[in-house]
Amino acid sequence: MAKRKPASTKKTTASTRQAKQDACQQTLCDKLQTLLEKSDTETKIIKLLLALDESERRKLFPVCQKNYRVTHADQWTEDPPGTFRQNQLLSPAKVAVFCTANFTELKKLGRWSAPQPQYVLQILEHRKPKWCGSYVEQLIEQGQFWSHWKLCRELVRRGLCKKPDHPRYYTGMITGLVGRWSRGKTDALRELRKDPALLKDEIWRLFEHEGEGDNTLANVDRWEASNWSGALVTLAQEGKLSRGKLLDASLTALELGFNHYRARWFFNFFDRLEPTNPELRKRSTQILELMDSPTPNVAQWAFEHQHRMFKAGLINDTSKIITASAPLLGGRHKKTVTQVLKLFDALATKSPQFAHEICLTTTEALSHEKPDVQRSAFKLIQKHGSPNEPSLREQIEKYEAVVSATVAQQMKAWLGVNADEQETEANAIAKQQAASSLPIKASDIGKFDVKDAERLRLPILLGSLSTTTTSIHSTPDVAGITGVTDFAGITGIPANLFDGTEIPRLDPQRKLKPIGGFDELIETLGRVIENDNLIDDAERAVDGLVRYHTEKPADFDKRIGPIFKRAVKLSQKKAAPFSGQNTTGDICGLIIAWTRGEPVTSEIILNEWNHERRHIHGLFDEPFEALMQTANPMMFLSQRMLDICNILVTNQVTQLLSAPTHEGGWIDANLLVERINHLKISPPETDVILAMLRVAPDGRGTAIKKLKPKLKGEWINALKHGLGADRIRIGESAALWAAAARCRAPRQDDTRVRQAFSKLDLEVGKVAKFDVSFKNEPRYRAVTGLPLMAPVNFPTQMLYYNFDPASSLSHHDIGTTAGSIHWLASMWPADREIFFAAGINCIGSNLDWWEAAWHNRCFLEPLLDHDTPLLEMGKTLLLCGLAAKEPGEYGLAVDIAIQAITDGRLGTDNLKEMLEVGFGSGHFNLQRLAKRLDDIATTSELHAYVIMLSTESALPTVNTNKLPRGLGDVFEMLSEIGTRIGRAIEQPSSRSLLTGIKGSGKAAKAAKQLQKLEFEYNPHRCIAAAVENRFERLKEWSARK
Amino acid sequence: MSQASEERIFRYRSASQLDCDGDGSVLRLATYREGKDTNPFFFQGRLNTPRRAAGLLRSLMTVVKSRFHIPPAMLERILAEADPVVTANDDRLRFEGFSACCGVYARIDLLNNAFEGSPSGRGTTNVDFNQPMLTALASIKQTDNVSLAIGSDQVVLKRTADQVIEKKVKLPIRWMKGFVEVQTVQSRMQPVHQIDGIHALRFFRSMPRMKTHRRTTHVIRTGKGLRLSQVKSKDAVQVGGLERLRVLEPLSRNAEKLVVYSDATTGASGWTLIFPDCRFHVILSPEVWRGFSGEGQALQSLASANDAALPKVQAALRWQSIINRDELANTEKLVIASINAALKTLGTRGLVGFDLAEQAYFHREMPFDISQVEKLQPRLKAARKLINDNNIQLKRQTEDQFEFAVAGSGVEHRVVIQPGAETPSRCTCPWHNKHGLERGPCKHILAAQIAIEESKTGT
Repeated sequence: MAKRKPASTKKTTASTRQAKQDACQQTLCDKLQTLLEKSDTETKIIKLLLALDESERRKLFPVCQKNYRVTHADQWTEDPPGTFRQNQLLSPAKVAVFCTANFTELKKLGRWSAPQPQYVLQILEHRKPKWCGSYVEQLIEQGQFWSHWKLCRELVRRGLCKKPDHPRYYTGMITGLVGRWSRGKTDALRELRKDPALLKDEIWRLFEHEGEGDNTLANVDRWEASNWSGALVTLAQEGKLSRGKLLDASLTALELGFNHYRARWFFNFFDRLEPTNPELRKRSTQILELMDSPTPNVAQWAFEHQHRMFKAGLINDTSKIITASAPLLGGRHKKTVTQVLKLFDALATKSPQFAHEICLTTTEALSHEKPDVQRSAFKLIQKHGSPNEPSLREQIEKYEAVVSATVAQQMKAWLGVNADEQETEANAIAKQQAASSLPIKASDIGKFDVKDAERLRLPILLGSLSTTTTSIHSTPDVAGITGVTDFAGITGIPANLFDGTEIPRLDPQRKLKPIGGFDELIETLGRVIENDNLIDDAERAVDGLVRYHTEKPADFDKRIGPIFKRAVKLSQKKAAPFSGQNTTGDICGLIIAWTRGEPVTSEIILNEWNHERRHIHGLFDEPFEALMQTANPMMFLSQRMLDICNILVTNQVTQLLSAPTHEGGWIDANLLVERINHLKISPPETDVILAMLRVAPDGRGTAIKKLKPKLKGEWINALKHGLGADRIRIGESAALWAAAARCRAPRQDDTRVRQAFSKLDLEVGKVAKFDVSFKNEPRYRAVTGLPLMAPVNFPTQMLYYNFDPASSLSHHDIGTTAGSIHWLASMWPADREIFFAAGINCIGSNLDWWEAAWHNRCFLEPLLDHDTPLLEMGKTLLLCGLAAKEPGEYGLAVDIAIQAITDGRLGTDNLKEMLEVGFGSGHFNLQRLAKRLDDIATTSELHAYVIMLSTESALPTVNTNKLPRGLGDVFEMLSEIGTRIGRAIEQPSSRSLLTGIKGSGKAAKAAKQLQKLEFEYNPHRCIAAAVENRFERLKEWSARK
Repeated sequence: MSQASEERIFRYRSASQLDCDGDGSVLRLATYREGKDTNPFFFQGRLNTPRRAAGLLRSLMTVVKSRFHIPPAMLERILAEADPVVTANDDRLRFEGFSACCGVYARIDLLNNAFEGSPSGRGTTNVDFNQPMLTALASIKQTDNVSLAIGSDQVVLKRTADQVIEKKVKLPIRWMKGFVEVQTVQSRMQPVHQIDGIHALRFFRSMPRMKTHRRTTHVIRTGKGLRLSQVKSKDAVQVGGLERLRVLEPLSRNAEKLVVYSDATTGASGWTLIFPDCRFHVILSPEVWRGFSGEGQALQSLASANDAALPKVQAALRWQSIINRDELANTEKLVIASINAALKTLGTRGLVGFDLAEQAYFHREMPFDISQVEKLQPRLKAARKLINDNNIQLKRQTEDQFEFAVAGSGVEHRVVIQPGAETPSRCTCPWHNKHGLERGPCKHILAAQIAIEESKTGT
């Protein structure tokens, strides 16, 4: 029995031991600390710490953690000054942490706490922690997981953890085995030979997983030095990998529905293995099944192999081939469908017993979007099928509704439906009915303004209507009503003739309701600072601010609090006030000024690098540095807001002259005069200028009579001159009078104003003219002699100069958001030609969408308004929109064209001019253009007729020596429309162009097909529809008056 | 991640698989249901049109495995591994699921003529759809003899002995919230267009191949078909991100009809392909980046105090494939309006789903704890906090208007509630100014509404 030590002795021994341990620990700590304070001590630290047992190491963790945190916080050192390098003590700190931490602690410290892989391996091999598997899983979960693959693999290989059951363990090998940036140093073959165990399992798992991001076999083989494909082929040749298994694995991978780019590697690899005929025969079923793959290139590859196997006699089961190929007929890829049709043709010829099955399967291709594919499919059916087979007949009838007009016609003929006769009969009845009851008569038009009727070309159309009623071939009207002379005796549908200044523009439906009180003002301000697209509401809010800014309730600070706070935040982070960007920033500025009540001023200063900077004073305690914009129209709009800002701080109730009364920026002249008559303080010049640019042409005569201002000044005279008053003395402010001249006659030179300011280099009073040419990109050349920059108060001149090629301004200066473009569009609604020119510049130079400019589409939007005239720039912009690649742009252009043909702004004459530019410039993709024109033509017979006649009339501009690409599509489009409405190409010049096209290309084939159309067409119904639509416009204009 | 997903362990007794036996193939869908359910399968039958059903299931999975919108800070690798939910009602099977971004909801309704067999039970479960399963579905031919068994089949159990396949499913919270929201949106939808399947195919094929996720497009009628327009007009259905409809293109080839629905409040759209024996529904959120989970359409129902009709309607739920509201009104002596309100509330609790084609609710119980949903609504939580912290004050009350002052961060927001008005509620906060009521009420309005309800009920 052992002798027991007395309790006091035990205690003493324990304390002594503890003291010894503490001393020992302290010594260790000191040693460690010494090592941690030096660089390149990783090996020494490992030696020191791994010599301890696990519990001793763990005790040192707090010291290591503290040291790591301090070092990590200071991980970049500046030595010498200006050069930053990583702290050399960081690596020893990481090593120390890794030697002492458990898994939870490591996770807390983050992924960057891990030392270099060789140290990790050394430490883990010694420590053999239970958490090694979890650590590997954590590495695999990280972003660039493949960079840790070698470490994970080594840990698995050395038996420190199990093989992780995670796809990333396998896919990480794709990049991880060789590593990035190792071109020329090593490759996959060399690495696989170093670790042959990988060939047992890991290598086969690569065929089961797609990979992620750029870590895929397809990507790595393309861009890195690995050459996985070559390595596997070599190993198969050497007999180290089973060739048969590789072939099977590739086909199985293709079944998994990988992305097309990634799937390509697998079928290319299959081909690289060069399978023999017996090998292919063995796998023929699997290959045939791949034709149903959702990945188009896999299906195409499978089809090509099927074709090869069929030719080589490896597959003889025709029924199997038909069933397997069927899914391809429903695809979008034209080439594949055509190839399948060719194969089917060969099969049906070789084995007539399968002809019925083939024809039934082929009907699927009738739903293809391309008429030539539909034609080929139907040709095959015609050749091998019989219309007496009920099932085939039923299938064909199902597709009749969606095939192109030319194919539908062939179908009807084949099925024995005498469609033409029925149609002709129906047409004749309809024509007779239409003839007996003309919708509108000349006497109906007499009740309205004759000039308006002439603008809508109604007398001409009625003349044409009476002519086409009596005869199929129209003849020019002898009673002086012509208008179709451009079409070689063919009745055209001319476009309306108005420039927008002579018709009433104020739509009562679009009248704006002014803000009714403080509550509504706060609510509207809150909304408009969140959305810069609400231009009409923004203008209402600004108008409301000017009218109600003095009516501050007792709890004003509380009420304004939320939007003031938001305005401050937005101004500082998102929308800088008064910097010509959008309404949001400027209205934020107004809210801040209103709340603070301090005057706001703008100042341009030079910074330390001698660059100009705009400083806004009064919004915040410190001057606010706003974006420095060159003078552009948006800056003018912001300048006006800045002027309004100073009205708010004066606490004087007044009325804005430039606040729109109707949507789109329009101001009713009579309401403007009322505002002027009630005005007690003179308005800022920017307000007057904008008011003049926004005033509508309606009722200006009566407005001048009502004008009885209490105030006097040059601006009153300018306004009078702008509204049309005569003999007004021209004043001194060029900016005011430039606006007055544009207000008076937007598209005419104002001689008096021009003469008055002839000494200035600003061409005040002169109207802008454009010269559009399409070369590499659209360019606008302004008339010569104009300066390249204009002061901020000349918005119209600035818009104009903006597009001079020599100008330093770019379209970016007029806004890069939808909201800014909408705001700009509201600046001068009476003449949007300059605005449209800006649109041509933006859309025309981005037709193929090389730049994602989502806002550009907004340039097209004003053209939707049926009162916006389609003048030169408008037409060209519409053409650009139709030829654009981006669905939003072309979709809107198609909507506009449909609308414009309906309301008469687009007729056979101006559409012809538009298309002449399209066909002759070489700038536009004719294939796209043809598709859009076809889309427009499907709307109604009127649209189809206008499109067809305009297109055929524009054809002679085509350069026959070098036919433009896509002309075949234009001819096909004409064939389709012609067949649909029963009209042939009638113009002799167009027919001779078609005859002159020789060869066997698509254009030549389509031209021949187009020439084959033989119809006699009477455009009576189209003209009647046009008359009806335009009569509605006439009634609307009359109602507005 | 704790906010983004709820980790749950689903123990599937076997993996879903397509087995081939002598007579044909058996499609076995492994399922999971919570609780002590000794008979975890409730349906077994043979598919009449196996190829079509397989195609529909693959399309559903295409939606479920897609992420149409990837927020900038989100990596693709966090794609939720979510499994569709299947419901067996009296005469039909419903498979439903969301895309990973929660912006698309898809559902297959297999009607009673789609299969031969009868349900041995009714219920809702999760279905395990794995890659081999999808590959097997792809190989199903129209002439194949395929049986559908929902639940672990005995044969499979025997073969796999006692093997339990454990699958950790991170059931995204966004999914749970989406299931709740989408019912409210669907119940408001009205049919706008109806066209033949062949015209639908033509329309889907005419859609642009470029991504349109930054644009809102409108779908309008043209002749017998549909066309895209950029202009908002009467009877135009708004669609954001047309690429989300591509899943319908291959299916429309054999469809009889396509019906397009629209929700005027949010701009969400519903697309239903009708086949002789089944239907495929796709519900699109108004914009690609807007998942149904964040729409907030169900907030008001979630916040509302329990109506007297609610327990009665809930008690009447008996796994009906269509809940007949008139019948319910007669049996329970309730008015239709209160039944509608109760069903809407039950929809937000995952107890009923809405069938667009039938324009009626159906009973199903979600295989997750729906009571969690309310706790996961940040706006609702914030609204309740505003009330609990006494941060809401009724300033003025008239017959038709309530005006509240609600404390914000350093400011005081003014909330006006005007029941029956064109804009029934307004707030001065930036959220409301930005979205209005299109994405549900803001927390301040919600707090005010709760306060009004509480004052009415006296709680």
